[in-house]
Amino acid sequence: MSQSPAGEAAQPTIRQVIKPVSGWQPLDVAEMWRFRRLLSVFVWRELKIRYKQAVLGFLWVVIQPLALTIVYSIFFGYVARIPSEGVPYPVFFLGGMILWQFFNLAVTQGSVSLVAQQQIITKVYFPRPLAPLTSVVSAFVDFLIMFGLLIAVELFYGIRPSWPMLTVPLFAILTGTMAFAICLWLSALDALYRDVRYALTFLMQVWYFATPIIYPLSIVPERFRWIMTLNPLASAIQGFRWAVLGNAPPPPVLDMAVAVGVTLVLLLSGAMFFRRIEQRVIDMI
Amino acid sequence: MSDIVISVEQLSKSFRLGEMRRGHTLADAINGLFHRNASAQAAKEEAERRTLWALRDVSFTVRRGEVLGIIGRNGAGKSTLLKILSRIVAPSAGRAVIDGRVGALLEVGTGFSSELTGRENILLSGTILGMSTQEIRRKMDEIIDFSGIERFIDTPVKRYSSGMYTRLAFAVAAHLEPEILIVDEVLAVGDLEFQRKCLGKMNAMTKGGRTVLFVSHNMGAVSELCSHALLLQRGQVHAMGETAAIVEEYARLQRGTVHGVTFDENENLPASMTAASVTDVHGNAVTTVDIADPVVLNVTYKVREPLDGLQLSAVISRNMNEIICTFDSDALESIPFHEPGTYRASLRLPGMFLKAGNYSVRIATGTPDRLMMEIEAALTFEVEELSQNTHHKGYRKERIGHVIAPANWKREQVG
Repeated sequence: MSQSPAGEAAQPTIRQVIKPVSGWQPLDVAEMWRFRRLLSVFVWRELKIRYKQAVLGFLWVVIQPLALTIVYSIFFGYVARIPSEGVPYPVFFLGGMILWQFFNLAVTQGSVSLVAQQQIITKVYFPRPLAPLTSVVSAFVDFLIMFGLLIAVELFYGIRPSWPMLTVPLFAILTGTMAFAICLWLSALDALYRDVRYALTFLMQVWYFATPIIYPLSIVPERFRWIMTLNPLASAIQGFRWAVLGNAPPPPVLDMAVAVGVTLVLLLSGAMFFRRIEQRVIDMI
Repeated sequence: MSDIVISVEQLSKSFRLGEMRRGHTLADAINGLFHRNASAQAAKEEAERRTLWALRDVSFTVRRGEVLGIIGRNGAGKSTLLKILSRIVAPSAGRAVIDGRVGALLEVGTGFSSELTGRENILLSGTILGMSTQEIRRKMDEIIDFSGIERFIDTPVKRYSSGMYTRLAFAVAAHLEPEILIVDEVLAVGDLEFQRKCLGKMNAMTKGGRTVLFVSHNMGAVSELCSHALLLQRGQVHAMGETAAIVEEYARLQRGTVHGVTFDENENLPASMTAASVTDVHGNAVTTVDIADPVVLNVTYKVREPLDGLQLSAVISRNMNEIICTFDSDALESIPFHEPGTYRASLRLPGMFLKAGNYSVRIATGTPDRLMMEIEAALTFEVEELSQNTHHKGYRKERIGHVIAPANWKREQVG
């Protein structure tokens, strides 16, 4: 109906059409990309607030996994003598744990993010998937720091990084995508039913033990392996260990394909569910 | 037609009542599953009954550079309209086409984090409201200067007083430069001097050809700032046009058309109330009164047998819960003897007595030993701050307390 007046042709006019949301629609990636700067500010705020009050600040990102590694190495590596794919147990454990920490932090923060951000969501517009995505990206920043720690520990044990190391981003992206997919599902559900946040702690606990982090995949009995195949995080960790430890067996291609498939299904369904629910959520909170 | 920047076509928004209250835990949802209405037809009717139309078939257009005031009573749909236009909520039907970058200011301090410093919050809030990083960098000094709190700019805002917080938040907002600005009553905060500064800033902005949508209860501000106004009534466009005419129409509407209530007669009672109403001093029925005007509560009652000591009582509550005061006729020195017949009693509440808000009146009748009739929330009315700018007054509605008392501080220097 309206054209930009000739005099203002230099300034592009943004046209928005506001209409009812209907049906099942996927994620609007193009729109999220346009809001990338807001995402970076959200991430910056999250990190800033998370470590501002702590005297040791960012050091906690390193202290936590280091302390966990020591405790687990004593009990599982030294006392229980769990096998560790031919590398020292601390390296083996840390190599799985930091990916788990990334996933865990992203999911626990991201699942409550929609409710946590309700103050802003009801006052200003931005693509709402940005709320859980913020948690995933800020958890990724922590992951990068922990990754530095892992390299340091490897060098301490005399393990030199080898060429599979180049594939690390693939496994990190797979894990991040999976975390985001789960956050889409859970943050929408949490806004409707606060039960989600109470169940989450327990769920993550079970998931932790159902994933080969403190033990190698090889000690899982053959007839239960298929469960591990269905757990995309197990495959991601398996692949990640192969990439960083040099000595660990490579992940079966089939397992990786299943992991990618499961993640994509979760992501697409999560995005549609989120889209479906977000308007109801905003009317409600 | 080239200068139309906002075009709204039959925009509607419905909410389902009850949904907001129920279903917050999974147990509630599961419960709901088992208590579904058996008949689909009944369920449909139930849904229809529970649907609240916050907006219905709203259509209008806004030209480039126009400053449009949006007015209407509470619940008329003003906020819903702004939220749809700023994309926070999606409409249920209809559409709106907006040409240009929209900046919405529905709250002061959107996105502020108490842990962060003033400077950090400028960056944060500015980005959330749609400014680019370069824009914020460029305006940082100007924003800090405008806020007038340079000394504390690197202190976390949780240590700020509420006044400082508001100033900073407003300073950010005042430097937003979208092509279309949507503002919701945010002027209702801050001290008078700062408010003037903000109004001035907004005025300057609109002079620069920016399109502004401005929602307010403050008719003074609307008249001053807006060239045109849109009056919403129960979710529909009641009138639109030149500001002066629309403000006039709003005032006329506020004088009300609703007449009182009538009660079913009860033949078994020696006396019973038959009708009640809220009027102004001239006897015109009103639903809303200005804070400075008196309001009259009228009760008509029938006496069927000679009665000694018949009393009337009105219990006034504000915002549906807190009882403020009661007015009982036995407070009179002599309680009148009633012959059978129909009577009418009225109670005049003075102006500058009740603060702005929603009031409900419980009325009752009886003798000292027998309560004959008692009706909860028989009458309701609203007191509005129409004639006065109460922003800097102790009795403005956001502050605590329910009544305006004619007492003031007296000061003297004693040392």
